[in-house]
Amino acid sequence: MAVPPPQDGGPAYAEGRLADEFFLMAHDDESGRTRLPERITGLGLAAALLGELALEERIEMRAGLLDVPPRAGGLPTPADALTARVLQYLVAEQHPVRTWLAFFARTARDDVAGRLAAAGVVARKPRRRPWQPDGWAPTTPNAGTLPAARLVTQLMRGRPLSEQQTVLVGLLRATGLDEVILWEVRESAPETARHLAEEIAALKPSLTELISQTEAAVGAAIASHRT
Amino acid sequence: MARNAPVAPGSVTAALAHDRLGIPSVAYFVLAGVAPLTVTAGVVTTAYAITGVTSIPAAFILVAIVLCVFSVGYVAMSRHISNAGAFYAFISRGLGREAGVAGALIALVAYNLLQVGLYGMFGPTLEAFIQQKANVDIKWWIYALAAWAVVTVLGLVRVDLSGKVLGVLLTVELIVIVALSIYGGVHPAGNHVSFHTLNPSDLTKGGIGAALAVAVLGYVGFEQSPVYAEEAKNAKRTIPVATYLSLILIMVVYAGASWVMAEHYGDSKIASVAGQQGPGTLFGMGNDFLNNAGQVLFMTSLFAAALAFHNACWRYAFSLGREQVLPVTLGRTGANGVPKFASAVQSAIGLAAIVIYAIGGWNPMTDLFFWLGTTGGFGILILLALTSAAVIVYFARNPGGENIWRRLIAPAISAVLLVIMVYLVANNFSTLLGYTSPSVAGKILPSLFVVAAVVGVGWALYLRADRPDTYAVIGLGPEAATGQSASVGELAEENV
Repeated sequence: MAVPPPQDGGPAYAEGRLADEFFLMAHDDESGRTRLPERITGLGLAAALLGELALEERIEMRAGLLDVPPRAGGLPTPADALTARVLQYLVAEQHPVRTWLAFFARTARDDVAGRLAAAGVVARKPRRRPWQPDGWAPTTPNAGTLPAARLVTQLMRGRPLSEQQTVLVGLLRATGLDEVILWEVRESAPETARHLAEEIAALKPSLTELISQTEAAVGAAIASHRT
Repeated sequence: MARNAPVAPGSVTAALAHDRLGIPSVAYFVLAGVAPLTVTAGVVTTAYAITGVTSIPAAFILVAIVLCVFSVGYVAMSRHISNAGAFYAFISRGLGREAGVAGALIALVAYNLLQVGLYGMFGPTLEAFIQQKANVDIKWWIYALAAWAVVTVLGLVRVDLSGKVLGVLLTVELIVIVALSIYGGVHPAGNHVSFHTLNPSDLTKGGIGAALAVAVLGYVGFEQSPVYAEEAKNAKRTIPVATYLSLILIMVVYAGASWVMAEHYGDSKIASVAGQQGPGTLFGMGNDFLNNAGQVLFMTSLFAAALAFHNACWRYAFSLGREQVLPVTLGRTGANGVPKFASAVQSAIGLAAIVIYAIGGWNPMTDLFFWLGTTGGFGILILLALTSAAVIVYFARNPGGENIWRRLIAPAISAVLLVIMVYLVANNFSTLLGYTSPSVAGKILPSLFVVAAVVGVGWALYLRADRPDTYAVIGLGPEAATGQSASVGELAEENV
């Protein structure tokens, strides 16, 4: 992927929520089709949605379990409608992280696409063949490539990653999407690429747990040949 | 996710249950992996020809019963462990991680032998078919290489033959086998119906080990049923019922078709007929239409089986790569969700086998398909015996939640029977390969598994001393990422 210079003052999503950035990286910016198998895309996006809540410390994940800690009750409802909705489910029922990933994976692609479409970043692109799912293509050429370009540029220039970006890299690796997005980093800055594993391991325990659970869920889907 | 409806309690469980697989779906997946026509037309006829043993129908019945008893403990334990599609996960948890790595390598060798063996049947079958229909003479190994190339590409780009395609092929295969059996059955040799080949007491007359090995080979694929546990409607019921159902259904088909062949051509002549006609022994019992349909379906069945075993091979390598027991690269996937390296390694093994047999000028049907196939089947038999023992030990330490029949009695019966079978097959290996006296090949081929086991134990001991983190996650497969054993039972505690 070519790396355009980072731009400031881009479209409204410029700050980029975790799941939005994962979504744009997981979709081809022209056809709007997913680069990963459907089920792995779903798991990656589900993990990114949980990641958004974990970054805000509204949920905690430990030893395979997901909790909504009591102090999170004092926080205001998330401003974003989708994460607010996800949180409602997490409050209402108790399940292991893997069950939540499987649950949100079913609808995560449409849910995140809906959020991005409402912000005017992507638009539905009807499928070309009857057996394909609909695509979601960026409305402007830049919108689709920007998140990846920004991440790659930052890594290539050796600039430190934010907590959210480190989680994003962790999810790219857990789903195999790093092969597409980060190949340039691996080729030209192999030291940085190797260093990433340590940075991920140094994240808050809740976030490393989310990433390992995602990796296990993706691995299990691949091993049972039902991606 | 329903956007505006209030979150109702239990909605998560209900939504997940909606997508889950029922008994028929699981049974279909399992049966498609077993490839019944490949066994009936390929394995049974070659077995009649090479071993000269006539009690194969009886062996199919006996082995199905043993496997049903085996499945009781196997399926029960699969609910308590992760990575439950792989024998070595059971063996690691029951008999220790050293035995687990040994089991993993035995399985890798066995599944690879089964996979490459299929090219030895596909090549000559297509060669004969094209020669007969178009009068064009092309060497078997060129067709085998073509099939290999397609398997390699499909393996790398991840075009799975979808469940629907496999389901349709499976259904038509079963119908054709039944129709051929009825055609053949109503015309018994000498107008006399003989039930000799179904008589279990005939098994003891010699060649029992060979007959048992062939029967075990026929059922390989049934062990995949726990793979679908995480997605089963009811983890406690769907998988066991689907497993027993699949075993009984194919037992009827195998025992029926192999009995009819002996009955149609005559018990004393079946070996020589099968020697001359190969898979045509089955197809020749029907009219022209059934004969042609059978031949075409036989090739699609062989191809589907080659692809299924290719996938089984990389799944094992992938799981071991994820644990870092084998190189990490094997556990890495590209964007398309395929462990490319693991898939490519299996393809390289297939290519090597075809090239070696082509250069050596060895007989593809007997020396590649039947020898390597039955040797692979013997490897699976060893794994079944080890797994049964592992089930007993595992439940002796963790008895919770299973009754004594499932955790002790059934696994003990199957362990004893399977160990006896391993002994009989090992003892009869030369007969199985078609020799009348002990042979070099009859010693070398089964000892491949001894080598695999020794290397496996040695490697596990090295890991214990030098890489304890890797040693700790042996057997967890993809769950190695979390370092926790997430069993289907725990994950699906609410999936009812």
